[in-house]
Amino acid sequence: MGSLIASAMLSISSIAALAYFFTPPVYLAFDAPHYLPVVAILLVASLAAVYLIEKVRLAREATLDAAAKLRRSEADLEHREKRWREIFEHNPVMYFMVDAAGTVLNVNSLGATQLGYSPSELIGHSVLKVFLEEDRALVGQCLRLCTEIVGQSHTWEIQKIRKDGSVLWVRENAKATRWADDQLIVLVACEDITDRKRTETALRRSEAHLAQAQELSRTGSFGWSVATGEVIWSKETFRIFEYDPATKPTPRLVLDRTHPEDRAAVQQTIDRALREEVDFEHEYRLLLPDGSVKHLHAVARATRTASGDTEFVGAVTDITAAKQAEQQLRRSEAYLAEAQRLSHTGSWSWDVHRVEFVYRSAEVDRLFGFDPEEAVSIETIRSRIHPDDLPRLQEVPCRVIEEKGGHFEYDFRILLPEGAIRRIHSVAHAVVSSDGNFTELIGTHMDVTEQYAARERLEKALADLRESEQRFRDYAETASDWLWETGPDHRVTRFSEHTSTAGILATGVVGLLRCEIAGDVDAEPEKWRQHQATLEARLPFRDFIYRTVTRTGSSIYVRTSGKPFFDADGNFLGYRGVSTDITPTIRADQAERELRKAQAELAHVTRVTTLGEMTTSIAHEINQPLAAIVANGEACLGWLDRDTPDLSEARCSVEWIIEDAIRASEVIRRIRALAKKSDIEMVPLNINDIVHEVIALVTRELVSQRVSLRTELAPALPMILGDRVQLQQVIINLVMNGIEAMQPVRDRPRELVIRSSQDEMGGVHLAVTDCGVGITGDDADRVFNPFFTTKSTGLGMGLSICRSILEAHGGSLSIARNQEPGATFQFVLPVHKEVVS
Amino acid sequence: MTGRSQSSRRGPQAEKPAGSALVFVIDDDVSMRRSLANLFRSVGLDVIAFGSAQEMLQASLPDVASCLVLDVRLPGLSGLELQTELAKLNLRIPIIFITGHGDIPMTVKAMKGGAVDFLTKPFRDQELLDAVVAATERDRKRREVEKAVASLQSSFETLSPREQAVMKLVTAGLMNKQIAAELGLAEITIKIYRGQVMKKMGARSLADLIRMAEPLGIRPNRPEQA
Repeated sequence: MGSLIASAMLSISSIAALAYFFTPPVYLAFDAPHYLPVVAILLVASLAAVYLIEKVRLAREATLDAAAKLRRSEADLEHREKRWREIFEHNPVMYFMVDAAGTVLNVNSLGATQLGYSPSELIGHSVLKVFLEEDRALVGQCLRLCTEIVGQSHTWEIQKIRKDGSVLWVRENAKATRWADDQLIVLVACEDITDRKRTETALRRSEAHLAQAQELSRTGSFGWSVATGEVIWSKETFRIFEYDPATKPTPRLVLDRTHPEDRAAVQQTIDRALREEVDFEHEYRLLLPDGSVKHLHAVARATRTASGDTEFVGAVTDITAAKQAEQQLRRSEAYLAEAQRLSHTGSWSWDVHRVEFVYRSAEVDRLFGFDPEEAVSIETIRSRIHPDDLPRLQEVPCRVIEEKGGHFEYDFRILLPEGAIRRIHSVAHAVVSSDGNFTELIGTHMDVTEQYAARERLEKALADLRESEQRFRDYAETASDWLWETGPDHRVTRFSEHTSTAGILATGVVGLLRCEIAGDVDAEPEKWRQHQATLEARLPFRDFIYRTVTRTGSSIYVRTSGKPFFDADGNFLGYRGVSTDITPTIRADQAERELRKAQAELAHVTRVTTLGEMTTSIAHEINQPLAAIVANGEACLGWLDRDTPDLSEARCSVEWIIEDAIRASEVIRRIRALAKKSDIEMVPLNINDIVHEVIALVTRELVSQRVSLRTELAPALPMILGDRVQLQQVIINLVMNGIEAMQPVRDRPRELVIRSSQDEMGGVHLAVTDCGVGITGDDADRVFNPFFTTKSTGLGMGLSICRSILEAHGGSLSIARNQEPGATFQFVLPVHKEVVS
Repeated sequence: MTGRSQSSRRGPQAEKPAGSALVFVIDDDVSMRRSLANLFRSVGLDVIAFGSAQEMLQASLPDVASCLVLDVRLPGLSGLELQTELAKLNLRIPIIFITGHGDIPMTVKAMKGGAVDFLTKPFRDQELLDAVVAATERDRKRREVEKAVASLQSSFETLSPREQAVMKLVTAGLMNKQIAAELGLAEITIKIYRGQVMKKMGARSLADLIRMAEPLGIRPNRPEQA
């Protein structure tokens, strides 16, 4: 064809040259139309000629070619076979030719050497010998497959076994073909793919490792092409989001799983990433279908693909465990702080060179009495340390430097602003810093104020206990004259007399019963019967008193107390107790009883004396109702004597007579009570009642002496315990004294005031105040003495008796001087406390 | 006292004055006060009882014949002091003192002060009743006299000065002529004045007029009476 074009071009140019030759220069403008048909005809003719020439040349070349081919074909065939053989032999591929039964017909040398055989060792043998035992069935199958459809090639990968037993991976390409003699052979080309297989395995392994790593680290990876919207998730990503790996991942899925509270934030992050096409990183929670919550941390890089699109590649990590751990940590930190606070233990770390705290827990500040929220300087902290303890504290960091390490325990005191002292026990040890030096001291401050106080209390309690033990031993010895022990049969088994009283009892009491020692069993059988019953019941007894004789024969009184004692099994072993010689006490009691009796008699005498002094008043007190009775009687007769007897008036008169008679007998009863020599009878009384009774007796005396009486009696006074008559006597005495003291008074109203009240100590207080002559200082001291009197008549025993009566009642009598003229006699009696039995 | 006869008991009742009589009782003792009041009421006397002298002084007392039964010893103002007080107030109530323990000086003092009686307890009730009746009677009489004098006085005051002068001279026993000379008037004029005096004074006769002149204190003018 090329030649055609070339010749055509040549023709055209030759014609053009011819035409140029024949024609005058016309500036190549075909404006001479009469030349155009000539040129055109020439052109067509030359083209046709060119074509014909080309046709002839091609036909000739073809003929020549065919002749040459025919010549070459014989040599060529020979050459080709040789070359194929060459290829067959030296091809880096192993070729096997096997028949349908698997017998090797031919093998190239590579194939044989690869397997460690020479071709002759393989040809004529079954090909199966180079396969692993377990693969031989498969090989047979493959052969059959190939022979079924001739010409169809099959490929498989299989292991072959070398002569030396080693294994190599091959890929076999087999195809059955029929040879000229119609024999069916299978051509097998084997390629050694051991390396590739190894790479493949390594790849697979690394993929598996990656998957495993993702699984273990709970990190899934993802890819997201913004342009196509295509999303790729790793297996772990599916697992994290808990989607079926078959699901087609989309950003929507992420949002679906996102915790509702975080959804907006996630959406925002994704939107922003899409908009700005930048890296993003965020944490959010998932709310999974089963209701559980997962914390995720996702990181993505925006990358540009070759096509210029943005693609996000990232990793999403399940940080739930980390989050929980973090929470756990935070909680345990809080617990620690709380524990420090509760145990009053603060921890700290001190830089020994820079002389400052590296760290100190809030509790340290609190221990020093500072608010942990406020910054505190070292100096301020130091100022709170007890000055005596400060050197010891400051010595510790120095020792760390000197001794290069060490463990320290020391106590010191903190002076709190309110003046209290807090005791701290500190434990510290030096730690090695990164540069290998001991520069830091780590320790704890523990508040041991309570423990310290407790220890002090304990020590004090122990000391007290020791002291009290000694005291009780002393008591037992001083409070008793001897200690005794009796056996189960109540006979004395042990007897220890203290030295001070040695020898009171007759010797040889051991082995005797108590009733054999005593000398009053016959005199007081009931007392002893009761005592015997107590012993038989094995009950403790206290203050049992009996009479016995000393070794010198004199009679003594013994007071004894005892308690039963038992062995570990609860068997009764006897009694233990103490006894005391109480003869002096008994004698004193008897003497006191005598004294009381004498006092009571004296009180009676003075009472009668007082009554004697009041005779006029008393007579009046009796005359008054008697006169009234007479008048009413007369009146009654008068009412009855009327022409029409007035019965209702008469009845009324008789009623008044009865009333007046009762009044008269009441007066007589009171006077008799005062005059009577009766036993002292202690009963609960209201002092105001007694005052009223006294007033009834002395009213006439007051009137006749022109004395006005004022009473200021406190309501609801507590009861006192006393003898009615004796207390009446005291008050009468005080009132009569007051009246008498006012006799000389002419210039002012004579007023007597009786006040009752409860004093600040809770006792019942009664005061009789007159505005009489008063008492001079000297007399005030002597006024209570017996036989002291300022009167011409009288024994001078009144106040003395009053005082002893009140003292017998547990009270006291005293004089108080008035602001105004006169004197106040007052007494206080203890409140009667109801005995709870 | 129980042995007293009925007749003697009736005595006071029988003697009961026609006009109302009032007894004041002062005693600080309630039953005593009550029994005395009862006794007086039983014989038909009106009674007003007080617990103290002050109570009586504060009370408005009815203007009737009365007497006062008073205990000498009283809280506050005593019986004797009350007597003085009443005298100051010109209340001339007859007083009967009763006392549980009378002594001579006190009795004397009481009597000097105008007490009508002084009874010492225990006294017989009849004694007291008698004393009360006597005292009220005396008071009544005193009052009647005072009342009559007051009436004469008011009549006397209705007379003109000339008439009073005439009456003084007439009751002095002078004759009309002597009076006319004394006053420098005509005898006939004196006669007219005398008639007027007789009429105004309600005198029926000269003797009547002379009796009237005495309580009016006109008589002392007579030298014979002085």
